Amino acid sequence: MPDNPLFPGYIPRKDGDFNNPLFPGYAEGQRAYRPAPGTPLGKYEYNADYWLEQLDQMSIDTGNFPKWFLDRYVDDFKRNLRAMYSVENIPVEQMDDYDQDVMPGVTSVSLSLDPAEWKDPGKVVESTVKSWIKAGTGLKFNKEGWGLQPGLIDLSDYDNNVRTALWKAAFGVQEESDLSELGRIGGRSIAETTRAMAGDASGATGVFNFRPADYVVSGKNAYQEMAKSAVDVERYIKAGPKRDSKHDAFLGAFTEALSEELDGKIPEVDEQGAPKRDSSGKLIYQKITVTKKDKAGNDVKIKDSDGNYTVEKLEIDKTRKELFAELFEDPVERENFRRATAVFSARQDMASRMKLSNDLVFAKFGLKGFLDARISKHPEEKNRGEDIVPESGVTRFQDRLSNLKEGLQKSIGINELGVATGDGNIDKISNGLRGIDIKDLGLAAVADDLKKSGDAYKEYLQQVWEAFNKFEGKEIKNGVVKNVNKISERELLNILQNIKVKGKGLVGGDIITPSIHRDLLRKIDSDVTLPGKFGKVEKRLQIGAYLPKLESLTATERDNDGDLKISKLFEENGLSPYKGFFGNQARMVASRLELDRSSYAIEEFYDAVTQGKFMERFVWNRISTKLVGYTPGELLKNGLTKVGYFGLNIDDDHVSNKLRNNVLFNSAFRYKFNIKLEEYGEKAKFVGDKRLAFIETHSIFLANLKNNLSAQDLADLLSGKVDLFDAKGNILQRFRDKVPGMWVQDTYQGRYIQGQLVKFRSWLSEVKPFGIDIDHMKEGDEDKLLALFKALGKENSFYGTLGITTEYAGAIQRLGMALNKLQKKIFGSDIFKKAVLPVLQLKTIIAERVSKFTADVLAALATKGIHVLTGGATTIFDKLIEKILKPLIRFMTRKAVEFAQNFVGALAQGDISRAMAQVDKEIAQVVKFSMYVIGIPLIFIYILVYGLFGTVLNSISPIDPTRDNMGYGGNLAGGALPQGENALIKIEKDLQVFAKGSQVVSDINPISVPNDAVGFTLKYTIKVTAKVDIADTPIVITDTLTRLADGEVPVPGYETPTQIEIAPSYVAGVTTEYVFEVNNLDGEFARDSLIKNELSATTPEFEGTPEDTVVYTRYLRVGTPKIPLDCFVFENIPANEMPYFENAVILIAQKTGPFLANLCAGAGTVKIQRVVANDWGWAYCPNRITFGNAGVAYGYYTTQSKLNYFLAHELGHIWECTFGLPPGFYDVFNSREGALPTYDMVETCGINTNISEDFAETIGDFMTINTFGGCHGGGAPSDYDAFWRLYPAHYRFMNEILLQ
Amino acid sequence: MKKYTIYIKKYFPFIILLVIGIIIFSVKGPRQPGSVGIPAKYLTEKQKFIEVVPLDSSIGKNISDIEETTPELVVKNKEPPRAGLTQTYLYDNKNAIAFQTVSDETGKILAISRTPLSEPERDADSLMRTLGVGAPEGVMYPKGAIMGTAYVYPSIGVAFVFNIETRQVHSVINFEIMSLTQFKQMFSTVYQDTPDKSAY
Repeated sequence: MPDNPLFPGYIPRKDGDFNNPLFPGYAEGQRAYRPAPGTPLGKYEYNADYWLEQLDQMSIDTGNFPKWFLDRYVDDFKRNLRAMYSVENIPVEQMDDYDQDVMPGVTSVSLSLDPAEWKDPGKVVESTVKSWIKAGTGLKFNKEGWGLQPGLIDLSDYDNNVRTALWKAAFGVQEESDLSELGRIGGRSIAETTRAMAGDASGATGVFNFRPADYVVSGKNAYQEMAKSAVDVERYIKAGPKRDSKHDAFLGAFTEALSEELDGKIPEVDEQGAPKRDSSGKLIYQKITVTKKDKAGNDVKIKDSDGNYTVEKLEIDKTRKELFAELFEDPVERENFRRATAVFSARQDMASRMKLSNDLVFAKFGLKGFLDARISKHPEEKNRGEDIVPESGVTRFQDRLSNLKEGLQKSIGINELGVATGDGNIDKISNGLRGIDIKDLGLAAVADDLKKSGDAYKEYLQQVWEAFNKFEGKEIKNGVVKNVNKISERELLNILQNIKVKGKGLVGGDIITPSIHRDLLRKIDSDVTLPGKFGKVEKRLQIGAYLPKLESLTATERDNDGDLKISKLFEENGLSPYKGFFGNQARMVASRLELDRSSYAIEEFYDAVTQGKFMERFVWNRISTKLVGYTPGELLKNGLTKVGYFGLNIDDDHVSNKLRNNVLFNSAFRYKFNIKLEEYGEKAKFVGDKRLAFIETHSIFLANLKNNLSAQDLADLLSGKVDLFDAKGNILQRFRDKVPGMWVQDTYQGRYIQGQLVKFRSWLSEVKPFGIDIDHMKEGDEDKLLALFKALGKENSFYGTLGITTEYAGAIQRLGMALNKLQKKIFGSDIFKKAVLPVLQLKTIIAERVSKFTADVLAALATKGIHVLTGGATTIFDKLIEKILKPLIRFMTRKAVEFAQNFVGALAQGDISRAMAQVDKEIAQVVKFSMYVIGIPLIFIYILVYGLFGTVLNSISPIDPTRDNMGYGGNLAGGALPQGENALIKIEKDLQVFAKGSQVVSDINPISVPNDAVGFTLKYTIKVTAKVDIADTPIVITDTLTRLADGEVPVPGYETPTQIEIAPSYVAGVTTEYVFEVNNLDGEFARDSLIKNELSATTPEFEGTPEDTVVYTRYLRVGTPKIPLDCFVFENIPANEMPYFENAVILIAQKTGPFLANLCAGAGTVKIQRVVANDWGWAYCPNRITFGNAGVAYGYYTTQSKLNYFLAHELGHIWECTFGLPPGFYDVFNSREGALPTYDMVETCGINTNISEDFAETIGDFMTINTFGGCHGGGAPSDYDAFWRLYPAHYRFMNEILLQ
Repeated sequence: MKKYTIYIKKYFPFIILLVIGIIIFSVKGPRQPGSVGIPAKYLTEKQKFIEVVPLDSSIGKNISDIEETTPELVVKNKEPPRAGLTQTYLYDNKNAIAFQTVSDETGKILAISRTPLSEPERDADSLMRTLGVGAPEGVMYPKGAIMGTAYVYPSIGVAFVFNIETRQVHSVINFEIMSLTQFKQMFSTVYQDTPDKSAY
């Protein structure tokens, strides 16, 4: 037992048996030490047994790791000793990461081939059949026997299908008219909740509709693709690995669509309105002229023949952002919008390149396909890429490899010898962004951040390139080529699959570690959905900040003729008619999906913990090495595949010619499927055929193309009237604009697709389906052919189908399909539609309503009382809400609904004991979860603090660093509320400066302007937000404008404070804006000064909150303000803090009279420095003061009153260094009043304060009463005069001794 | 005899352990309860005081006795005991002097500190000359202050805090003779080994 009296159960020592090192010892004659009577803590009971028990059950046993690893190997072997039908292709290493029971549809039907299990055939048969029936019907059997469990049926698959249908309706993928009344309500509920969660204040109702949007990306309707992928995210939201990858796909589609809408290039059109093309058939785009800049960001000037210099111009492609920008009235906002769009597009471009790079290697038709085929010795030469490419004369595999290498080199920016060329395509993206305006520091920060992603991307590609070199037997570094041993195909595949840059892959990622691509996508997502809240990007450069306003402007801004401005602009630029603004609707969808994704990730974690799989999923899988291609399971799988799992699971590629010609084998295993032409009422059975690949690959794709092939085009193509590509693989002119761009560019692709088309025609010619003979087409055959085209596509896309090109199917594969079809049948049956469907729809509707309610509550909380509730930790709370609270509340809501469903369900069945068991289970799970939640942060904090990120943690400020030049605690009694804010109101002010002729001099809220901006205009935008409703109480603001130079004087024309009634009453959450301009401010008057604008509002006494005045001050620094004494030298003061420091000196000089002059005379120069150390202020004798970063978080350098105090306090120390403590101050310190209580470092409110600090504090408080710490409320009243009345000796000393 | 031999063989390891145990016990054995710490006699031999007012020499006296016999002393604050030690803030109404005392559970005053009261006392060099001390036995820094340095002389029971640049003394401390370690423990809430960077 620890020798610690605080430890529960501690037994005190006996008399004399005392070894406390603090005990000063026994002195002769002194009474022997006796402990206090009674037993310390004797009655304290340690009641955490239950928690400890749960802790024990958490199975954290590091000793089990090797055993677990061994088990894993055995499991891997066993898992593959099983014939399985599975439509989901999840990498084996992620199988443990996620909950497999929540995959939608019949995902997995299997039969064990393990001889050990078959020792008891009855048991195997029973459990297998039960699992099959459950997979198809949802019926839940007891473990033993054929009895059914209470509740009979597991509706999760049905539920998922119902939810999917509702989501389709919500995002406009499915027509509302196809749904029942409840279905329509469900769709609308989801849409409304989505809007509420995204904080939409437009009052829009109904489902989302992206159908009219006609922005085209890769030949597809970008917004419709986005809506479909959004539905996909929700369909798989409960299925871990799919959830994340589907969310990635959504973000990809979303960013492509938004980028096209806002930043798509505008083609030139001829007089007929057709797009113009150059001689090579490429579209010609409209141009705009911009000024060319040099590397320093200055205009490039050229000398003309007359010797005059003119600014050099540059032509760049015009994009839609120029049209949307026209809608912004404010020129600064307009320019910022352009830049935000450029930032968004640059990031989107980078993310899309990453995806493409990955696809080139790992997609189905990428390099990996060849490698897989070569490793497994695929019988087809073409699959192995060993056919010869006519253009290059090498095998297709080698051709692909060298093309890839060349592409990698261009992307990375190296030549074939690995020497940097300096013009890599990846670097061009971030450089281009920075080049927009080299002087824009915000833009530079984004470009730097993007460059970091680009660098990781480049490093990844570099490793791929090096692996390719090794495969070719070379090692190339900095121009030196060495011959090395060639690596095998398997080794190459292993290297490619395990490439990591700082632990991250290029795309995908797992539940803990996102990939480089996912990281970037989520940053973009954050820019769109949470502008101004996260990341390093300034709000003005985050596109999400403009979308709501743009939506409103596009709908309201009209020209003189009353036409919508944006429609006119579209028309004038030859674009198709304007259909509406979709970006903001898409933003809301993205916001919802991100929230759902995060909350389900929390649930995944919760489930892992409560199911005891935490260590496995979150710890071990993270540290274990991936062993690709060498697991015993893989060897076994290869062996079993070759024998078709004894007829249970057959892979076409491994069926020998002998078997293909065997009648018995064909009659048993040939795969057949039915096709029904609904319009003709005809039905026929077909066998799977490889020649149907054209349909398999392209039918849905072609049907979904935006500028898609017309029915006639398709009929002509299918029937062989025309070809799609010529023999060389060039697209025919007729189809150029109707197919994806890649088809046009890549002739190999063209030849490949044309080959597929020809094969499909040969199938048609041979099979003559439904009597269609393409060699002798009859009237009406073309329509029938199209109907067949669609029906084949539909059959192929049915969830769980084996695909129409499948030639052979084993028994288990057939069973799986049959079960899927059964499930579909049940789902489509009348009984289901009438009895179960409405219940499931209602469940979703209720869940959505609850979510909307919580979203509304959170929004109200954020606008009404959050600052009061949190004591002013506003920004932290905002962040908490966005990133933690919202998803957590979503998760808790779901858990509550689940619990209520089970609990109420049990009660309804009269089963009280089951209901109580449910309660116990929930409590135990919550306890277990809580233990982890408590424990895990401790472990991670330990690792982070001491191991990895010590300095990072120190540098994290609890205050939002993105806020502009304002700080905390503008008033003395206000505690930690931001300046201009109290419990009832928030006032803010933005400033812009214009030179004569409305030319913008500055960005919003400039720190300083030069003296030569003579005659400028100041535009102040006041924003007032009430937090509560107070009827009939007007909000009145008072505004004063002064100049600080050699004293404070009013700006001419503003001698008396301006009073404005800004609103007739307080309405919670409503922000009122008011703009006033100070025109033609006299440049000479303002020269080298600080222009101070102070806004104040007095709030009335309301429900216990006393009357209060809030103040918001904004400074504009003109030139270099004069400091009254020239002994001060400022060093390393950030620009946004500088005016506060300068003004502090001015104000201290004004208030303390001769104090500063005497100090300067004695100390000579006083250096005032800002340092990066995490200190507060520190005065170094003889004459240096440093201010560290600790004060930043509390706004000490950006809140004038606080800085006045702080600087005066430190100057007090310099006085001591220079002159020593005045002898009279010893008497003050020894007077009855003791030390001032405000210096709270010793936490005793002045009782234990050192005399030196008390002296400095006297000077500090003389300027402004120090409100930091816990003493100002007790010992120190915030009222200046009242405070000094309590400490007259100190006050007299300042006035009579120091200031004389 | 054979029977005993068997017993000895059987219990031989235990016997060896028992013997070792006895040896250890006899060497390290149970300590006699009684005095630990500093014998009282040292108090009068080496203890020095910075003595200006009578209270300076009250080390070893009981604080309640002092309070009783000096009516002008007012207790301004008494902190709850910490590790058996109590800090009391006293104010001498008559002479306008603030004191801080540290006392043990019995009320015995172990240390007393105050600001310097006379000019010679306010100069560190003059104070060191008066005390006849040179380099300090320990250098510490006050908590919650940026300017002071504490020179500690535990062998004579004296310490003082001063501005090392101006040599001006901020406070003087008389305490019962003890080791430097004990001093650090006793004043752990007041002084530390490095400048307090949380102060300003």
